[in-house]
Amino acid sequence: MRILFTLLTLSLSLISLAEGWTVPEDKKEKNAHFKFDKTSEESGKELYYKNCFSCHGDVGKNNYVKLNPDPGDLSTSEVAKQTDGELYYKLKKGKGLMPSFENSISSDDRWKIIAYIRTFHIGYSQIVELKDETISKDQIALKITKLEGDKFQVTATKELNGKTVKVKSVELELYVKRYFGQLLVDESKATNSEGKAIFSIEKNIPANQEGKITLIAKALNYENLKALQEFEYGFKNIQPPLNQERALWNTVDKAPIWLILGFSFGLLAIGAFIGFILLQLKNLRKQK
Amino acid sequence: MSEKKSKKTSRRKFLSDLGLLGASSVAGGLALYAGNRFESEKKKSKKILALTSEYKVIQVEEEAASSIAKSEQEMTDLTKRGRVGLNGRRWVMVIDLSKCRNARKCMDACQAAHRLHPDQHHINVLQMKDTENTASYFMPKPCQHCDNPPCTAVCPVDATFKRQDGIVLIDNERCIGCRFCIAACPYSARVFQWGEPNNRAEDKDMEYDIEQNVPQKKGTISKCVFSADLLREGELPSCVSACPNGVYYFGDENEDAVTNGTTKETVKLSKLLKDSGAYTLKEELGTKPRVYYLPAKNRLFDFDENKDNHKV
Amino acid sequence: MENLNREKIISDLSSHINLNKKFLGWMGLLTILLLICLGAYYQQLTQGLQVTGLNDYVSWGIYLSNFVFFVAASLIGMLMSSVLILSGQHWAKPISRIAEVIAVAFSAIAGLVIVSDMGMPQRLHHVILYGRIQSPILWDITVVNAYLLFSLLLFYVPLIPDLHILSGRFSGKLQILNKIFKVGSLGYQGTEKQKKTIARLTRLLSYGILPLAFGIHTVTSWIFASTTRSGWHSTIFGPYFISGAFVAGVAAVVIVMTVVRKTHKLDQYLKDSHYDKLGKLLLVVSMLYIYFNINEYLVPLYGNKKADAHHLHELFAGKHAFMFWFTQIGCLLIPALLMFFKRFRKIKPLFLISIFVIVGAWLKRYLIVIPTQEHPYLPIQNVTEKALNYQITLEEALVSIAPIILVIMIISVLLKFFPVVPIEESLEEVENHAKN
Repeated sequence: MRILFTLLTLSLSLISLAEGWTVPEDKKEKNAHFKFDKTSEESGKELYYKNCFSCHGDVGKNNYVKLNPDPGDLSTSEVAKQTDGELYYKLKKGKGLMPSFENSISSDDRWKIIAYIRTFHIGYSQIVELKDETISKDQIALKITKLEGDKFQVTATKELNGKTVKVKSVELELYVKRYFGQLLVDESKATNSEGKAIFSIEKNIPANQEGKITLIAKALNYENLKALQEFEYGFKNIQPPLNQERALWNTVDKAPIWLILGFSFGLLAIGAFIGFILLQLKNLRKQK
Repeated sequence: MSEKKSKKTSRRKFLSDLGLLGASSVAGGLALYAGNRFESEKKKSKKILALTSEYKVIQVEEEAASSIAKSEQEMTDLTKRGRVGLNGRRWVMVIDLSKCRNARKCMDACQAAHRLHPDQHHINVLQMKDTENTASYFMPKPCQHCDNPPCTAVCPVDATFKRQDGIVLIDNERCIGCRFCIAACPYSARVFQWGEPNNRAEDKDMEYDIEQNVPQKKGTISKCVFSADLLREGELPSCVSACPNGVYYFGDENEDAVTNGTTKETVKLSKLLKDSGAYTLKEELGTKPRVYYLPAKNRLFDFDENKDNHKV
Repeated sequence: MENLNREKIISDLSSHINLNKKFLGWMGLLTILLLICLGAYYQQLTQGLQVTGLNDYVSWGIYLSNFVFFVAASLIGMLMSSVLILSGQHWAKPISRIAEVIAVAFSAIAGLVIVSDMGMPQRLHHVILYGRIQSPILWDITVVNAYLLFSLLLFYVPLIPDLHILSGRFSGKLQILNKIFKVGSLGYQGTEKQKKTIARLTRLLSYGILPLAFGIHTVTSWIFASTTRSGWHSTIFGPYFISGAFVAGVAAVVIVMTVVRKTHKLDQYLKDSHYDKLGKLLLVVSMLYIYFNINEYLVPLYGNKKADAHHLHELFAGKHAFMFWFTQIGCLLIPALLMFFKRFRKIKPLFLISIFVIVGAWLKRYLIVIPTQEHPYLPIQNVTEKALNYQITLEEALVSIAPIILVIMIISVLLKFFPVVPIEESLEEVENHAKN
């Protein structure tokens, strides 16, 4: 048993060593859309002790759990030299023994944990997707367009002296409208220097009865800035009504055929039998 | 004398004929009735769907058709639309047991919405303990709105039925109070109005809304209806939005999305069920519930079995 | 000589048809008791079923067990007048009318018992208007009513010759019976052809009632067996109920027969030999019932599933243990064993034993209906004390007694104004005897 366990952990560590932990280039450049401050660091600390402490220990104290591979202390230069985007990606996706926190920690909270870890990295300076403070949200217009395949593009523009100018660094989230709320598709993205952010939406996302979905783009760093657009996209999910089949549990007009026949036959047989007896009794007096 | 006698016999013959006719027509009528019932039922339901502004024309037709049609016609518009349900929807509830702290806000909201006495529960938070050595956990238990509902199977009068969007409703204007459904439900999800219900003063003149099952009626069954009246308005069921701890998700399976009643966050249903080890209650009974549970693991709060955690 | 004999038989068998004070007093007493019980039902109608001990968990109480008991007792009509007669057991002929009257009375009132359990009795017509043929209740209503009709016919058709014989024999206050019997005899004159028709129709009805009788009690058992509850969800529930019904029915016949024998002075016609045969019959059906009981309790004991184990524990050693063992041993096993001995198959001991058997039969229905509901799959929590403990209330008891009084009234009336022992058949027997 012990041998098996050792072999297992060994192989796991070998795999992770061999593969390293590469983060896709575009993910590396991702940055938080808010400035790390005391408040975010505080709540980041709280989140850290809830979710990360059990393996990584206190940051800077090297009291992490001895696992294979080593979870490591997060104050080291190894960690410090990685970009915010890299840390964000790893926290989100996980690998090997490190679990994925995609579902259990929200996007903002992930940034807060990073804010806390960064307080141990000397010489760190945050690159933040700061919006252009000179523009107010009323000047910006968002537009959603469909591109090739599963890609959708959100463009942020503003009118300046009669000309349309692209706006960059608008942190956007794209939602699809559902009956009770809005479902986030893809992760948040900031518009690039072209004023564009490209999202992908899975092709089989359920559409309404007409085969349409309603998309909503929301700017995280401009309050109440949003756009709404309907597209013919997704999978027209037309399921039969749940009370369609003939079944014992369904209403009487959807009773199983065999039951209708059986019941009717039974009633007829009883009626006929009684009718026959009564007829015979009626004719009794004639039998002299 | 002979004339008198023949008169007498003919009268007697007539009487016996009449009796025979009566008895056999009752028996035969019953049989024919059962046979014809299904055809007329089909026609009827089509007619009701077609009911719009030409109300009058159809009404005459129905009245002429049969006495059954007449009583069917007494159904209010609220009941009619309640029996049809929302087209293209398949409601589904997800209950995350790891978040339930027994705050009981769901029970309170439910009892207020459906005019229940404090000891009557459409949703009941149970303290469960599966085996002696496993931990206790709190389990909110609404009606499971089964896709193979044992309760509707036994109803003698179609008072309880499953609609196209999956909700199992109860019509307390139809219910005869036989309580067979209570006996058949393995989840103890139904209550009976043994005495005067807890209606409010203003409910007295209210038209019966089958989707809310209010006003409640003495001598009939009452049960969780997923707040069908609120769903029609695009609102979450009252228990779902009342929860302070994010226990409930509710949504449309056809949209593959459920919305958390506390955070209002919408997540993918299929992913939520897959990632969290979702299960249904007593699935071995073949009831196919529309309520899913996420196991009570990784609870982020202390569980005190002996404490009645009414407050958050 | 033969004529004299004939006259004596007729007058012996019809002498109880009169309006004596005893009978009127008896009916008066029953009426008063019935009115008291109806008062309790009025309470229930106005205040709702809260006057009973029922709750959301034990939602079917003694009304339902009463119903099952009624259906069970009514089954004896089929056993005595159909199975025994068709199989050539002619000793049962004098008892067949008593059995048929019991069948008519119990099946006529069984429906009312169910109505008393309904929360909305004023909506009874919904069952016809909206009847849902998938529900075992609808089958039950259909079959119980059909069984009632068949039982009535099976009571009436063999009675026709007796009505013919008796019409014109009454005087005084009972003169009206002459006319009623005359109309009732449907022009029967005792011709060979008519005799044959009556015999043929009786035989036909005896065959026809067989599937219905099996149906009525099987469907009643399905009301329980069609759910998924432990203690109910059993495949042998149909035959289990039917065999139990035979036991209850034989006991009911013995009791009614003994009473009638005394009040109607029928000692010469309901003899020791009948009791001996009935005792043997009780033995046979009890053995069958014991066999089904062993099946019903032993098999889940082996499987020992959580819910089953709990159910069985409650019966064997828990809350219901005393009632359970009293019913199983005191009212089933011991009576059956005693029937092995001839001295217990006499009038007095058999009458006493039958009372035990019938009380046990009622309690057994209680044990079938109530304990299962006390332990649903999910725990019972956040409810009032009432929901944790089903206690029969006074109103509930009275409402349950009402149908029993009604049954006794029907049996009393039918056995008062119609010959208890079939006259025509007794005459035939004597004639056949003389010929041989």
